[in-house]
Amino acid sequence: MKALLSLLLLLFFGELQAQKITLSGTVFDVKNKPIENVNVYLKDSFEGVLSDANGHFSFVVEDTLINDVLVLIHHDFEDIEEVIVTRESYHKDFVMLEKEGLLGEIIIKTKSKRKRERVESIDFSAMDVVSTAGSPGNIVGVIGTMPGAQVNGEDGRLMIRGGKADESGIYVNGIRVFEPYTATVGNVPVRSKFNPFLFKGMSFLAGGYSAEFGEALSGVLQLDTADDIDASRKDVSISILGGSFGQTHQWGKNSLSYHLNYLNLGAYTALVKQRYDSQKPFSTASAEVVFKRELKEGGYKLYTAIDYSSMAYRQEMLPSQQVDTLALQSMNVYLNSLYFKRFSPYLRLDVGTGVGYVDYTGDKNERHIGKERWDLSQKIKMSYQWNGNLRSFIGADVQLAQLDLTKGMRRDYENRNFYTTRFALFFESDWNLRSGFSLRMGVRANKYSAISNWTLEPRTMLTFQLNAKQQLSFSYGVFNQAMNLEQGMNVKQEDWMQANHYILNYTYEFKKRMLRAEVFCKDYSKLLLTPIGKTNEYSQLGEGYAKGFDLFWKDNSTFKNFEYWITYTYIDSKRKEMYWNEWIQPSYIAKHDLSVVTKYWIEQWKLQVSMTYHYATPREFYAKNAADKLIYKSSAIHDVSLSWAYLLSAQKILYASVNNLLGRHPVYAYQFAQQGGQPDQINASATRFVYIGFMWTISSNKKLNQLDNL
Amino acid sequence: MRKLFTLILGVFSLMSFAQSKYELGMQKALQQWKDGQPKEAMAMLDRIAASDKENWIPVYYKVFIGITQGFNNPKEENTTIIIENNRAIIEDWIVVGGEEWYVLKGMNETLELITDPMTKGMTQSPIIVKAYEEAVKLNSTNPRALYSLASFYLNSAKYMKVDVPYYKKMLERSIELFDQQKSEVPFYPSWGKDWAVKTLSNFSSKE
Repeated sequence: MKALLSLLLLLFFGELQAQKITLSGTVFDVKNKPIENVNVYLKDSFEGVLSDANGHFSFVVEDTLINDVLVLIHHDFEDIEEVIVTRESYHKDFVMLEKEGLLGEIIIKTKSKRKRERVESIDFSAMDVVSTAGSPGNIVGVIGTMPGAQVNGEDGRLMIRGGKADESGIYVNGIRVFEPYTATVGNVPVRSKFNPFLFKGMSFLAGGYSAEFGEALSGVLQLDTADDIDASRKDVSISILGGSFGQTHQWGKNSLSYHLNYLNLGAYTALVKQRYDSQKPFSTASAEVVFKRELKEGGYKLYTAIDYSSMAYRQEMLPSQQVDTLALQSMNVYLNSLYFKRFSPYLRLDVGTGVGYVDYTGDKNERHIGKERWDLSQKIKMSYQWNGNLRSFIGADVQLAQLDLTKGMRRDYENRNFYTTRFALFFESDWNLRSGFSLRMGVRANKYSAISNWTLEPRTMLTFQLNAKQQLSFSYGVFNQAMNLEQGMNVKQEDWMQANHYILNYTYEFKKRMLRAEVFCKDYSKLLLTPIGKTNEYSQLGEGYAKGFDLFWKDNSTFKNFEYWITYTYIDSKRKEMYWNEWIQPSYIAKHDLSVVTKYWIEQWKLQVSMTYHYATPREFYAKNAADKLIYKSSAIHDVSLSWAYLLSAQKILYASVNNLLGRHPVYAYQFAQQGGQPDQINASATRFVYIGFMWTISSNKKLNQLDNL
Repeated sequence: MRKLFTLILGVFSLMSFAQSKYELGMQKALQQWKDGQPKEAMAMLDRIAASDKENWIPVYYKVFIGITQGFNNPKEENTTIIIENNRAIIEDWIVVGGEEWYVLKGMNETLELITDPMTKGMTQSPIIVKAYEEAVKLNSTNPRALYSLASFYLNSAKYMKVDVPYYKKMLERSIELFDQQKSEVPFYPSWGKDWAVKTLSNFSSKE
């Protein structure tokens, strides 16, 4: 018993004797900056602490002797292990090296890099497209509300910062889309053909874009289909304009979707009075097929679309009272395939192919145009990540195009053929430099069969990360474009049309709010001049400029269930181009352009209400004949659109939208007659456009069988 | 007497020593979390995970704590980083970890949804439902899988029409299963009953 007592006493005493040993130190990176949140601990006992904002750590161990390993771990840095044997307090400073070449790390790095890219591009989702009033389901319609973009009422195509619609390139999975819009004749506005739900991400770059893309003087729109295979489901939608049916089938690591769509304006135009008489209402039948296959360390994605459209109508033009007869028929096939493979975590290969076919006939009064066009594009790109701070890609792009054009008046047709090839090589690198700077430098070399010279286009962007929320970037680039095929038939091209972009961007992001301000300056040279009446005296002495700024504010978090964005663009642009060998403001430009997009979710009613307001100042129009110096101004645009989406259930959505709620009658543009005189006005085909539709998604695995044992 | 005592003491200390390394660490981590020190708890779990690279339990709790923290402040910018990191971890463990990790995946994707419900609701919902359904498919008696699937549907009833009685039944079933659960594996996930009961009472009181 005595012994027991003494033992207990000894134990107690021993306990009292246990010393307190303090382990402390500071952790720095190679730039001597303290590292926060380093997990510092003893390997055996798990005792430890996280370093504070000054990189300092300190913890107390109650023991007489420490014979252990001190471990320092941090997500972004290489581990450190230090054997320590000590009876006294211990202090040491550590320098941690940044992790490089680890797979997990690279994924994170490229993700944060993608965040950096957001500075130059604006990303948006399918929901943004569908839920924005004024552009039901039309991708280009939504982009029209983004900074730097403009879409004119009588045209419908995307124009970027004072550039013509021709100067914008649209890409799917990095492959050019040859015919991104629905067919048109006369002044019927077009729509984008793509179903927004096919794409996981859409990003819009208003100039200063990467060397991977070319042949667009103004900017590019990139659409990417999701890499992941889709789950099985069926989609049905019915609207007052038509209906569509789609199905996705998934088996193993494959998925196949098809989407059939039929649209006919006949019933609608019979109900709602239009400005024109339709003899054959606009109708489109289309089909889209998407096939995806997941492969080992890679995948394959195929997108194909086919559509057939036709229409015929008569329209009285005012004030001339001339009656225009318009008709079109168009058949379009597009195929886009992408194969990608990762050979190692650092090396990725992308092989993309695009094939397009268009068969089009359009008649306007006695004038007839028939086009048969083939396009083929093949692209190879190799991307390599050298280390955490440097990545590069290199690639080549070949495009073949063939156009068979029939043109004429009253059966007196002329048929011409034109064939071109383009070839481009591109290389680009991205560096993360020290202290928040990163630099992108690229170069693109282009060759076009009709032009003897190669061009070399340097592209660069310097980004400075002021802090976690603010970024400043400057980009500069040279962009070339050859004339389009139809122009190329009439003109012997001597050189590329060229534009230089200078863009300064400031972005401030905090708590789901984003402020983005951009100042831009573009100068154009070697544009085509074709003096009226003297078509043989064409030259490439045309020039132009566009400068201005845009502001973008997006806020998803200040108000509950309310999301909005505001965009303002100012453009000052003048050109000497086409018929005008003197500086004029091009007719497609609106000097001030304002969009306010709002979306409000009413929880009790399961209803989303969206309203879009668009304002644009009048555009200026000139007669082709230079003698007539009169400027015709179109109307200022004030458009209020409203839409409602009512969720009957997750799978059933009832949708309604109205454009031009205020019922205004703007003159969009003017059409000048050959003989001169007062031009005709171009207006919307009807005051308002009302759309009502119902969408239904049927998921194939409604309730799992496993739940039956409930 | 002395011999006996030293023997007992020796056995005891040996046992407690065998336990200490992993179990004491886990206990301490979970205690820290309970005491409102999630950051410290996660650091502790990281240390344990680093010492035992084959064991998914410490990593599971680390991800789980990260997600529950995210639920408290989904609008925090840090949350997006947590979600991305969690995705990478879940991807690594989902084959080994089985249904519990599918539940975790569904939770992580739910966190992504609530960072911006208006724009992400439509795209995230099928991903979340798929993850939970996969968990149920792997083990239809896992109470967390049933609870997660049922509560996701019930909570979406605010936004869309849902077969409420069906999922309430599923929730009730999960509560039964919560009471029956036991595992040989120390620290095997067992959470969820309180939440299931609370969700059920929320939906019962509404009617």
